[in-house]
Parts: sequence; C-alpha cells; structure tokens
Amino acid sequence: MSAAVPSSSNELQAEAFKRLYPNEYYAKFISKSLRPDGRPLGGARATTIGIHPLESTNSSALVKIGNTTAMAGMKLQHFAISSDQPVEGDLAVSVEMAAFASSETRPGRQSEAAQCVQEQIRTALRSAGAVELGELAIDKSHAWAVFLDIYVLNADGSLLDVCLLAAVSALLGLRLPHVEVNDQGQVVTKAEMGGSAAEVRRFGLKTVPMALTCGLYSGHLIADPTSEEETLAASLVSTIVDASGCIVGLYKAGGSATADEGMLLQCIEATKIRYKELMVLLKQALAEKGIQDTGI
Amino acid sequence: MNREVPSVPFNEGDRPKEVLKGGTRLDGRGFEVFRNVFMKPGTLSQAAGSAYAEFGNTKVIAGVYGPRESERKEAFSTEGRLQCDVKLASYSRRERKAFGQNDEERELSAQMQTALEAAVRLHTFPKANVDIYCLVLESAGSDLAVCICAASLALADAGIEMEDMVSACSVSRVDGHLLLDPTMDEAYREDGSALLAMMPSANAVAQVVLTGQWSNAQASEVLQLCMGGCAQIDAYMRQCLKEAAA
Repeated sequence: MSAAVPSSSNELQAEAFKRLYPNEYYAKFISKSLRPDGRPLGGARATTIGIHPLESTNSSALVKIGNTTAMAGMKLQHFAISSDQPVEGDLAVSVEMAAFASSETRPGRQSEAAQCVQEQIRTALRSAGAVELGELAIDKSHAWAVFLDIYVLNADGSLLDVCLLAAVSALLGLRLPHVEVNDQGQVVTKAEMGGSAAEVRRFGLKTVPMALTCGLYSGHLIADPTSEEETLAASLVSTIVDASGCIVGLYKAGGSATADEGMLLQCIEATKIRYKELMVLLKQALAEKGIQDTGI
Repeated sequence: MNREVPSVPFNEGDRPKEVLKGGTRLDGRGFEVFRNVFMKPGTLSQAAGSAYAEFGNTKVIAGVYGPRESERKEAFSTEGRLQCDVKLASYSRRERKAFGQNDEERELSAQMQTALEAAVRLHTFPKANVDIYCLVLESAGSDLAVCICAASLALADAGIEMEDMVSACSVSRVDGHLLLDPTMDEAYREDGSALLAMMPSANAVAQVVLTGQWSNAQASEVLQLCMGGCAQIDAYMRQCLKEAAA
C-alpha cells in the first residue's frame, strides 16, 4: 500500500519547508516586506471587542486580535476601610492562561507569561493613574474591591495587547450599583432602602492605556507578532501609551538582539498609530451596548 | 492586595424562593425542554481540537491536545490515557471563586473523564496522552453535562477515534416534577438529580449519576427523559460537525 499523494505537491513542499526551515521560510517573506499571513510588516491583525458577553459578572469583555483571545470579567466585593487607611477602594488584577490556550500551558500553576502580563497591566492601571481608587469609595468607611480576572483563551502572540484591551474594555463597561450603608453597617442596595434600583454609577477611567507589541527580526520591526513570529523574533518590545501619547510602560525583556534608540522610537510611534485604531473600535463596541458617557 | 479586612461578596437580590410558579418554570420553558443550545467546533486555533458550547447562560470552551507525551513519568501502558481538567472561571458564579483547583472542579474533572473514557478508543494511541481541558466561563446550571458535550465535540474536531459521540444531559427533581436541563436556581432547589452521558448511536450508557431518593418507577422515568434529551443533543452535535466540515 502506498501513502496517499496530495494533489498539490507544491503546497506540501511549502509546508515541509516551513516546518524544517522556519527561519528561512520567514526570511523569504520579510525580504519581500510581507508576512506569511499577508500582512505588511507594520500591520496589526483584525481586532474585535465584545462588551458584556457574560451575565454572571458585573462587567466583562471578550477581545480577539487575530487568533489571540482573552476574556476579562469583573466581580465586585465591598469592605470596611480601617481607620488608618486612605478612603479608597481596591483593584486586584489577575491574568490566567486557560489550560487549552497553547500547547505549552498545562493546568495548575500560573504560567510565567501570564504573571508578566498581570504585573504589566496592574502597573498600567494602578501606578499610571488610569484608575482613580478614590472613586471606588462607597462612603467614608466602606469601599468597593474590584476583582479583574482575565483568562487567555487562545495564545497566539501579543498577549499583553489583548489582555490590556480586554481589561480596559471591561473597566469602561463597569457600572457600580447604587448602594448605601445601613444602621447595622451593612452595604445594601438603594432598592432595599426603598429607592429606585435602576440607579447606577458609571466607573470612569482617567486615561485609557493601550499596548502594542513589536518583534525585532533581522533589523525589521514587526508589529503585533503571532506566536510563531514571536519565537522567530530576536527580541520583543511592548509599549503601552495613553490617550495623550505619553508612555505608560515600555518593556524589552532581553532577547538575543539589542535595540537602539531609533528602534525604540519606531516602536513608540507604531503604538501611537495603533492606539487611534483601537480607540475607534473600543468606542464602537461601547456604543453598541449603549455606553457613551465614558469620557474617553 | 494587603488589606487587613477581607472583602465580602456583593450580590444584588437573593435566589428565587420558588422555581415553579403555578406549575411553570421561571424562564417559561416546558418541563422537558432544553434552554437555547448553541455549539461550535473548532473555535481555538492553538488546540488540536476545540469546541464552544452554550446552554442558555452556561458557557463552556473545551480544548483537546494530543495524542502527546505525558508531562509526568508514567508506567508503560498499551492503552492511551485520557486526562481531563475542568476549571470554573473565577467569575463564572454569583460569588467569586479563588484561583486554584477546588473540590468541585476535581469532581467535575473526574466525572468527565469516566464519561468519555467509555467512548474514546484508547488502544489507538498506546503510551500517549490525550488531554481534554474545559473552562466554564459562565456557570448557570447543568455544567457537567455541557462540559461533556463540549469535550466530545472537541474530541471529534481533533480527529480522536471514538466508538460514538458522547452526549449528556441532566435533570433536577423539584416538587416532584422532573425538569430537563435545569438552571442554577432550579438545581439549587432540587431534592434529587440525574445526569446521564450516553452514546446514542450505539445505544449505550456511558455514565449515570443519580442523587437523592428515587423510586423504581421514577428512576426509569427520569432515565427515559435523559435518554430522549441525549438523543436530541446528539442530533444537534452531528449537525454542527457536518456544518463545520462543509
């Protein structure tokens, strides 16, 4: 018995070439200023944002950039502020890879990549002042603790970009229920106090941070790399900027290649351009759910 | 978070006290009717096979990897191994779940494994592992049944050999009525439950779990109802696969 011969042996050869010599395969594309998926070097993948896909959460967002997918969800809890603490709420961010996100992830411990992304998002939201924790206070003695949990469902490169976009989308969709603290010190909704239940408070962001990851490949800058491109790239640079174009975070975690100042400036410029694209999509997605008063 | 005072969950409204008002279910369904069912194979690009399943608000993604080498060192075996892991997303329920596997997830994983082991032809991949991972994005009742259906569809999508597709459904008994595909609120008020996973074409039962007290007559009634439910889901799953292949 002979093995079945595929009708298009050219296609088979291309596939075999890609498997055996991934670097040469990729270099052929780059020399023509193209990428295997048809994108130009500076082009990002198609992006979709869905707001509030889950009903069990206080707010949620599903974001897809190319094949990379992340689902962010938020849960509200409340706590009594102790007297020596400032009158403000709390925001906890966690990023977890779903076990099926990639072939390397296994159930159990949080992966290193997820931990990195978690810290970068936490810093972008908290230290850079995007989230005003004072706004999360209910009264002088009680405040909201917001748990923002992000699951990476499909990891095909540029995790930070997708997770951060999911995080800010969910934050912008968050409504804080109108509550009061009753005589017993319990937090109850307005409805339970005899008011209207429909009253909610929108939670605003002072500024919306967004990220773009770029790969450095033999002197070329490749925007929004896939996981295949990430393994081929000599180094990765992730930039987070806010609406005014200020840098909120810039990460170049080692890699086998160094980047000069010109390269980094190019990365920052590319991120600013991508920011405008993403903002249009984000506003559209929010408007679809009737959310317009976000002040972004 | 380094606060001394732990935070407490905030829930708007309590669970409904009655789930059957005047003999009808809260969502207006008949007793033997499923919620809206939607399934789609091949939703993830990284996994060898995958599927998304939605029964009403219960939303599950399943991904399959393998056959591949086991991560741990295992004894030689002429049969392949099926490894299942079901996770509930931290925000899938009314109250936030902490990260890390809890007892319920361990139970769900073990149950899913036994339900699927009956169908997968383990001898076709000796020494190797097939890993099935499920993530429950939103848990709104009948989670295990939805996980089994999603996993079965993902296995088919991955091209893993099976004797037959496995479909599953669950039933809750509330006030003496048998409710097919119960929601979380209905399951919360149940005094007995049934879960059946079966291979409808082979007409073989892969798994039955009955909890609560059942008379002989009612036990056979509930199994009949479950079998009918599984057949419906099976037909839908086959249609989904055909559409995906077209």
